[in-house]
Amino acid sequence: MSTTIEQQHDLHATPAPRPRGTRARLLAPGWLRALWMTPLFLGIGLALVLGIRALAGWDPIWYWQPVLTVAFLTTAPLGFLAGIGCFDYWARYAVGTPTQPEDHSGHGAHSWRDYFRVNTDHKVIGTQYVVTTIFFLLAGGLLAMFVRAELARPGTQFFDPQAYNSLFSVHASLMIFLFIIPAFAGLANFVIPLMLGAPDMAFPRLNALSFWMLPIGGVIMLSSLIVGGFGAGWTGYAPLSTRGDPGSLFFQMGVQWAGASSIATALNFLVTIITMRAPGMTFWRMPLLVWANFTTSLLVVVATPFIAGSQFFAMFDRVLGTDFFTPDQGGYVLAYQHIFWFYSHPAVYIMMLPGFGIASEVISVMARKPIFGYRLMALSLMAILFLGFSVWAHHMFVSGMAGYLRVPMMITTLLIAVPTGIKVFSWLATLWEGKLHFTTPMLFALGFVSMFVIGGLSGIFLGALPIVIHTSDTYFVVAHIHYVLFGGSLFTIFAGIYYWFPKMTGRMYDERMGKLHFWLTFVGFNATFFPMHIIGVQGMQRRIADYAPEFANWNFFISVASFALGASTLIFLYNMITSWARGPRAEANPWRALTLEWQVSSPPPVFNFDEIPQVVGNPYEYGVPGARHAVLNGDRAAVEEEVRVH
Amino acid sequence: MLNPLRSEAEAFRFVLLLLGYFAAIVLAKAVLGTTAALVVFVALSVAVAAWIVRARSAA
Amino acid sequence: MTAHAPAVDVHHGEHHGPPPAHQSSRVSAPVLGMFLFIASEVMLFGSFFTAYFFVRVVNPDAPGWPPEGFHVPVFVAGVNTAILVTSSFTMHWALQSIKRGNRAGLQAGLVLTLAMGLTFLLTQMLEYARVGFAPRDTAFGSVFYGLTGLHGAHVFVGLTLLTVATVRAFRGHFSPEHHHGVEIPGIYWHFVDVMWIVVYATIYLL
Repeated sequence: MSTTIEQQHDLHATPAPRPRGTRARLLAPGWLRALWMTPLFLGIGLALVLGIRALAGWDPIWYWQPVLTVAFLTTAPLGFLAGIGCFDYWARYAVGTPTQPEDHSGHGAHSWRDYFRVNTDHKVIGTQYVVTTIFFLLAGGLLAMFVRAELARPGTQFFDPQAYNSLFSVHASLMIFLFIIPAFAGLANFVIPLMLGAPDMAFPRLNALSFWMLPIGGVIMLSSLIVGGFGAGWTGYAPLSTRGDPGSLFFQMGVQWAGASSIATALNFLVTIITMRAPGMTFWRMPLLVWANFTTSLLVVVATPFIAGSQFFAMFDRVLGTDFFTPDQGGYVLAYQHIFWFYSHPAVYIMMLPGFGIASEVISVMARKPIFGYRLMALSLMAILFLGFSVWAHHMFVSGMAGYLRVPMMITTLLIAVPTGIKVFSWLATLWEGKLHFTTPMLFALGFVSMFVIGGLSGIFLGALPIVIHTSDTYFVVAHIHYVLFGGSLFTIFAGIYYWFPKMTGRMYDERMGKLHFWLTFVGFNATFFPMHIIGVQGMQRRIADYAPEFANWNFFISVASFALGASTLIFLYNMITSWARGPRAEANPWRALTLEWQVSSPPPVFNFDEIPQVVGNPYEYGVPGARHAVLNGDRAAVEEEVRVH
Repeated sequence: MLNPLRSEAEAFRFVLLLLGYFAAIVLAKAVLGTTAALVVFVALSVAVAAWIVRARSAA
Repeated sequence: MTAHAPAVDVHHGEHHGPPPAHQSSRVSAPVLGMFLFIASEVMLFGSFFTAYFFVRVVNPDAPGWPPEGFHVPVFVAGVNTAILVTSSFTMHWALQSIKRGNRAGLQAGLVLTLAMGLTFLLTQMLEYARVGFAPRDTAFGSVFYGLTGLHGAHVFVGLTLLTVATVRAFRGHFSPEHHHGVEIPGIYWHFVDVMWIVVYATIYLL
């Protein structure tokens, strides 16, 4: 990983000079400044809480709940962000001094150290995102291995039930908030400005800030394990999450950081897509990945505040003693679930739509055919967006909510299968009679389509009232969620990483190892999660550390398979690390793709394009003779020719 | 897709319109009671929605 | 959010930077970003109003609003509302002034807006001290403090943005051509105002 891409960089973006002298180094943005600013802000937070408590005469003055919430989980991370340099520009702007003119020294990465600094280059940020999220994938995966070790046999082996609850809760929270959602954001961060023909994102500094908020959320969630974790699951239902173990506080605050990060990124994507498209890049000429991230970002901007709200209420109930969810004080417990799922159902599309985009890119390129029904693909994304807001209560069919909500929610839930089905059939039609190239990204994309169909079908089961009343909270649900999130989201993330690996690193990954990784993952995944359908229907409860002996054989099988699945990730890691360090140099366009990111060198130049390209056609005209998507580098004659022909 | 809010001036106009909207509802509640307020609320909301739809199709 | 000061681009052209991006929308990026951020904020308020809705309407054994023994200062908050709405007028005036090149008007408008915002916030704090119930006193108290507190936090953010704009206005930034640094806090300020009108109507009046 230490080999860098400096050889290929345009050298007109020179690195900023290193600060000299101890004082200058302590004041320059970076890890050293973060090292003293984090405790400083921690102290400020402590003083704030203790001061207010002392002034108001509240007893005891030292009460760990507000101290933890404000000082450790809010101001100390802010101090870290300030120290590392996320706010420097804004601080200068705020006091009215002339802001430093942008000299673009923050662009590009000249050595591996630059990846550990605040960088405003969307390509560096994209790489930072992907690497960080893979770290959390490994952490979350390790927790899953612990869960399976405990479940390998009935009875209690390694973890008591409380610890077990923490394991699966932290596992799910990391995978959802720190891996799937930001991994898509990271890939999109790298690719979208390139695909649009833009030099960078609309707000590069906000982009850097939203990246750096992410590891904070992850570290907070991981460190909940120090205080015993949280047992309320990634859903954090009140009242379990509003009393008892302190770990829930880490979940509630960690979600705020990760949520703020994803809102900021989504905002950035939306503004970039709306205001920075290259000339000729109309909405109906945007690659489907851009469309997918456009709809996803709309979902994030509109829905994520609801999870922020639900976690604020739970946190207030716990820290301030409010009564949002206290029934005997006029509170309403089910309100938590309604508010939570009003975010979290759209969130499953936040975790899936970008994957649809990646699959569309990969399948069209590797089948050498135009995507079938391009406009319908984009419109079905929008349909999912709107329907996604009308189905939240299907997570609450057995919660005791108002009975009249059940049937309408069931109908909308089944309706949402229609746009999703359109997409699946469109991929199949794209494959039909195509010239298929079974590269690793293609294998993962095809694996995604087939596995997602299984997950979608079990979703229809779970959306149907008569069935879900029986299977609610069983392993059938666990099987379903892993078929859509692992077989769906994770497979597309792998597809995306392999597909853009040559573009991001400038080197080629090892194709044989990639294929081995795919097949091991594919087989291990099915061996792990398919039997869960069976034991789920037979009545094995989820989220319980022990189970009835009749499920012992299946569980043992599942655990063994899951370890193989976990081991397959090591191949992926080995492949990525060695290829990034020593892989053969990648061509600019190894997949012969038409979209704009492949028309520049691998890795792309620091400023993406010397001149903003002119878009002249659709992005998926594979196999169409003479079709062009864009004209680069001021090839005026070619532009005029294209405009004349069309 | 025409964005109805594009500048500070439009945001300011929105403040005034919203003030009128809520003033009407509150006034109806104070003078005529809750049912009347509900009627005013529904009527005004429908009027606003219709106006937005017409403005959209005209644009 | 207010980061994009056009005034800083003095040195542009001295070095080889990225090619200027193609502007594919009539709305400028910072203004659009602010409106989208406000959409997100509206949804945050939406989640608090959902809690209000559940506590007041859905809950089958909901007591009255406000419940027996609770009293909200409708008149004081009404005066406060008038102050905040007035501050929207001065904000609008500040921006119109700089658009016509009237720097004194800009400065006066911003200072007046700032003063009224501060008055609002202080009145709100005094109201908290005298209202006679705490966030932990039944779900009514929780929702009352939740919504007014969330709004108060937004007033604080708005005031911070306005302070920045004011500082820069007095340091000679902004011109009839470049005034994003005023316009964007102004948009945010109107949003704060809008949310207060909704909060006041639903919590105090209806």
